[in-house]
Amino acid sequence: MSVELLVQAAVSGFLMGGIYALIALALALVFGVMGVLNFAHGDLLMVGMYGVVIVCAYTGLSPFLAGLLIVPAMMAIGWAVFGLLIRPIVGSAPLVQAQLTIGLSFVIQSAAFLWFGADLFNVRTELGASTIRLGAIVVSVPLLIGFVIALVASGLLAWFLSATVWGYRIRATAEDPVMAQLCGVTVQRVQMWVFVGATGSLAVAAGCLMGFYHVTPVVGLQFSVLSLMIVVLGGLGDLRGAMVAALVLGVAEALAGAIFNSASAPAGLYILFGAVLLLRPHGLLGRGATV
Amino acid sequence: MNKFLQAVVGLAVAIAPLTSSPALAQAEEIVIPAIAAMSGPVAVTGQDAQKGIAVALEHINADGGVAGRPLKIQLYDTQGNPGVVRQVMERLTRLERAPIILGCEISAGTSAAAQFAEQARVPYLNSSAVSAELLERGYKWYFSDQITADSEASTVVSFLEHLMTQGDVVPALLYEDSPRGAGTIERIEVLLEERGIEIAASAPYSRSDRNLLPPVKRVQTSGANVVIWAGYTEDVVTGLQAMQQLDFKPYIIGIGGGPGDVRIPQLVDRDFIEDVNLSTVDYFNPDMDRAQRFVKAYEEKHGIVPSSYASMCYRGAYTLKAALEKTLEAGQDLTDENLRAAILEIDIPGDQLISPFSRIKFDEHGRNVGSQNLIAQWKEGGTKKVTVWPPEVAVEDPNPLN
Repeated sequence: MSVELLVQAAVSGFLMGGIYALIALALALVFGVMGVLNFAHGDLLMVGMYGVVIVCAYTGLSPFLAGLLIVPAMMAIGWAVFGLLIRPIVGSAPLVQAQLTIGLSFVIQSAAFLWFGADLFNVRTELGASTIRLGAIVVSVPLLIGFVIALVASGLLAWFLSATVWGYRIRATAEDPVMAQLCGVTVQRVQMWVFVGATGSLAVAAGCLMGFYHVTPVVGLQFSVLSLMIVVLGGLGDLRGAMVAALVLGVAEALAGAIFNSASAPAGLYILFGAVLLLRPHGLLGRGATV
Repeated sequence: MNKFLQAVVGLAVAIAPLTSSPALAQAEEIVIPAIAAMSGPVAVTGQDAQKGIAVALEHINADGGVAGRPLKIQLYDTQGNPGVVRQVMERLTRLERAPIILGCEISAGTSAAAQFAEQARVPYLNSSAVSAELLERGYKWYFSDQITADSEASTVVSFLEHLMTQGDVVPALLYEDSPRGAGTIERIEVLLEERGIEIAASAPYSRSDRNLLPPVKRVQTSGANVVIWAGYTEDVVTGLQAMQQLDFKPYIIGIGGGPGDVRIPQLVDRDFIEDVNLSTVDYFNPDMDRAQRFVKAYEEKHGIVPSSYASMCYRGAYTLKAALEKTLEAGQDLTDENLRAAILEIDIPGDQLISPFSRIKFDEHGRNVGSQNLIAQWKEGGTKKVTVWPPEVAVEDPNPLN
């Protein structure tokens, strides 16, 4: 096991973790504000990834721009999903929420199978094979661009939450919805816009991913699992914790593959996840809700 | 005989030579069930199987049917789901009392079907699943004319030995850690060890890995110049992109659905496909001389080039025909016992097959001892897959070692 290989894995994993962060922040925000753990989160991301493929095929745009272009469409989808499915289950038992969102996940997957078939789609760009070499370490340019966009988007989200009136309302709702309501915040409206915004942000993440990855109807499941892990690891409802957890998980995932070099690497990751939860049940930063 | 009847008989005699097989049309039809996943996530396999069987039946019946009787294969959809497979098998064996069942089913479903056939004592003729493990269960009623992981491994090693005649070969293993990928790789490791060939690196990865730079870099830093790679389309696309980013251009011998996927040229830079001599172990390639009758008829009927999935069930229909024919020619009824005995006597020479097999002949474990793979290589700017190995079925020579 060479140091070079470890550094390579850590760098790639860190960049990947940045994109994971953007995906997971949306889930963490939804959980924080309305207490719904959305198991169809990855499938909504998958819808965005197909959207990016379609836009790129018709316009020739880069996937990163295509991701930005489909934000309104994804927001519209988020609005419809919230109105029809999520709003009625806010405040319901976790099992009801899980059953409904898992059902939604299956419906989205089946619809993707019907429309796109089981085939794999990706977006080929001139940047696809571009790299930056730092000595022996190779940095993939599409991955780096995706990381930077995800980082900027996450930064904007943090600024929005901490420096705007709407951000105060969202934080107040997350902190104590009853008190927020008493202070004049229309909680249901805030919840709706958070879900709509979170779904819209998945379009940006979809653009970042499609710069170097591919989409199939079942790709959403792995991102749902990953996002849930990040949100739990970061501390339920803790956005900063989710950001740190995403980066840690990205690096740990890449290092596990490089170090263990066996089929047990993903299992090792889950063992690590379990161990962290045992030692820090309120998340990495110790500020989340109890798991 | 009245005049009308005389006229009818006269007309029948007159037009008899104009029909391809008048006796066949009058003979009792033989109807055999087949199972395949025609819906669900792996529907593409069953739908292609259906197309292959349709062409096989046209050819078999045009050539005189089975001992003068027309053959019909009735397909049943399993959705590729072992639970549905069990239901279908129960219906076929217990209610419809089928004397034999043709399997165009994926490995998971075949495992369930083989188990059920064993309990029901009905021959199950698999033409699709490649699982070698099924042949090691000691079943008496399971027969597979398909290749297995063993034949894949021996084809890879024979091709590697061919490359070794051209220069120094430093092989490395890169594989997706599913039972399919790891199973074949394990067999390759054993064969290489037996031959004293050292492996520079062995780099497994998970199918869920979104970034294959680390495992590919591990292979690159090992100094390997030939990579034996077992993967599906998703990871092969991601891995080839990683190789391109690392400027790593080994000679690739691929295994599994990924490296030979017809969509690869649309998903990856075509020049790079040729740079790495992307080759793939398969059990069919449409350019083989012996497959031309099938390929042309398939293209005419369905408007596309047949896939490997379509070819395997075309071949399976012919293996089934051989078993039925042997039983009928021996003057026996088409019972499960008689058909099992007939299957064990089948010996179809390779030149009568559309697969690269040397023959179809079953051993006591139900394994086809003549099954062997071919190696196809992407050529002409990564646009065409050409059969390059083994020499007896090769259409062109393989690219030389870089």
